[in-house]
Amino acid sequence: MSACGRGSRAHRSRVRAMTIMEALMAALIVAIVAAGAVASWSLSSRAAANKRATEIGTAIATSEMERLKALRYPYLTPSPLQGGQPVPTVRWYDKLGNWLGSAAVSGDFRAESTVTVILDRDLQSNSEDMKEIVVRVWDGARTTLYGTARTLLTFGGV
Amino acid sequence: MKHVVRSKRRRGAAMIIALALTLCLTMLVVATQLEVVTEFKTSRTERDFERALQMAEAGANAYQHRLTFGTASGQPGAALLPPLYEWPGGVAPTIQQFRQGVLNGTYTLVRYPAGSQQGYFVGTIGAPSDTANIVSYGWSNGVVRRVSCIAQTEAAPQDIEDDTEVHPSGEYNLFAVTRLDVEMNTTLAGALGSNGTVTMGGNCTVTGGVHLFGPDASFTGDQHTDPEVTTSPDPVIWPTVAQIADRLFPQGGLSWLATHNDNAMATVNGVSLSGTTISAKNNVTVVFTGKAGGANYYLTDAEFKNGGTIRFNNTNGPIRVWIGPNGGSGAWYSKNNANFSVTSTDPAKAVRMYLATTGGFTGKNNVDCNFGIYAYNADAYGNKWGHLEVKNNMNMQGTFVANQITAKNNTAVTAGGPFWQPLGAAYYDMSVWQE
Repeated sequence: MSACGRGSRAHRSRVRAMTIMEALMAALIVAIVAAGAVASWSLSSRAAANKRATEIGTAIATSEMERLKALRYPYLTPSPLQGGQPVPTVRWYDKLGNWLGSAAVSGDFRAESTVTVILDRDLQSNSEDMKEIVVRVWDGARTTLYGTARTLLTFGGV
Repeated sequence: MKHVVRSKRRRGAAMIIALALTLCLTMLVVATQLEVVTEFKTSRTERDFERALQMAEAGANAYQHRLTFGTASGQPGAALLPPLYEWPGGVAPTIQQFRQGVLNGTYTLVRYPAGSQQGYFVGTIGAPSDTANIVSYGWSNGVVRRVSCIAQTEAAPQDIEDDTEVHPSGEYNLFAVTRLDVEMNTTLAGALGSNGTVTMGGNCTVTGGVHLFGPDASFTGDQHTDPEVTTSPDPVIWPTVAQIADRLFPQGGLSWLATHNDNAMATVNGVSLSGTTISAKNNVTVVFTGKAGGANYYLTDAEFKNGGTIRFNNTNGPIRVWIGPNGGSGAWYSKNNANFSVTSTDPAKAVRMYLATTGGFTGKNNVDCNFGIYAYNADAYGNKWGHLEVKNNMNMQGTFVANQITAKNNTAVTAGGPFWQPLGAAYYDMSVWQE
């Protein structure tokens, strides 16, 4: 074998090794970035779902608030107390924000509303009381709070 | 040789492709994340937009409650009642101006709930009277919404009528909305009240004490004048003469009364009164006659002096004398032994005078009066007027309400019923609401 032939084989061998290393490195980089992209995609999907749920929760809170205010001050009786805390009225909604009816006992969204007397001037239940409405919207399992709405209500007010 | 060149060209291609892919994926990731962040911001802004409206409405209601019932210091929830505030110049700021005002400390929000990044700030355009023009701003994380409400007074329901701050019974013989000056040997048998400044000096006496209402009220006396002074944080809200007229004559208030009155029942020296002015001097006799349900006389100017006799024949019913029009320059002017008398002291047939003009009521030099005077009026911008000036041996019996009152030089004022209760105890009812 001539020296020229040996040198050419060695050179080709080095080239092949470089190509394999290069391909491996490229594959590694692509894999890392792809993994990041997949994670990001997953995060984005979850974020979109969360955002949708939060928006529906806010909309439910607002509609519950409007529903209660439409009852008008004289007919909004304070929530019963248990251990000093008001017991909320619960209404259930589906994932699109539709009310599931008064018979429902579960759903995708749980709206809890309380009416309390926040200012009682004379320790008597009368038109001098300033009332507070608080609406909290949770997920069905009551683990995530999506929205809270609150306002004050007075006799003769809006 | 050709093989070597091709091989050199291929070297690095995988890396370039990988980097290109990486770049594409990175751009995709960044774009997705930016989209998510933007969406979240939009969602949060929408939520704050809703909350800001709820805050604005809560503020309007709390302010209305404060106006009707006053403060509630020491009670839970009292911190939610906003302080009384009038927008300077009768103009509420734009939303942008308000946001800047909150950021630079001009407006201090009532945080609701306490410590949160949401709350409200409320004020009125002009001073609240029979109508309160309430402008409330709601704030949630920098998002601002504004609601404007017009609240009218309505008769209070039975369960609260004793506790409202609006249209009280007014058990004072003198009540000045803005300023009350009592000077030089004036004797007041009864109580003084004011939403503004009260100044007493020069051996004056008041038996029922001085009652100050609201943040602008103050008392100044001298060493010879030391009445009992009480204070209340909320001003007394009186209706204006125009509002009383509107309530009594819904067909058009004072303007309607100008052409639908009982002037023909009044006589001047035995002759029916024609027109709306009276100038009675040098022993002229004027008789106003009452009737069941009340006789209403409308005058634009009245002057009595030099022994003029003014008789209120209220045996058959109450008498109301109105001086108009709103903001006009007419006055009721009486001096030099003008003699007023009533034929009945039955409170149900009381004689009352309402002055809607800037000229006000003046009585001086030995004049006796025994009827109520109401001289408080205002325009839509909150400008107030109406004054009562009594001096030089005046002897007044009744109750008197005016924007400004001056009593001096041996004037005696004796509280006499019925006290002013122009429209009955009231509360504010929101009749108009808009954002």
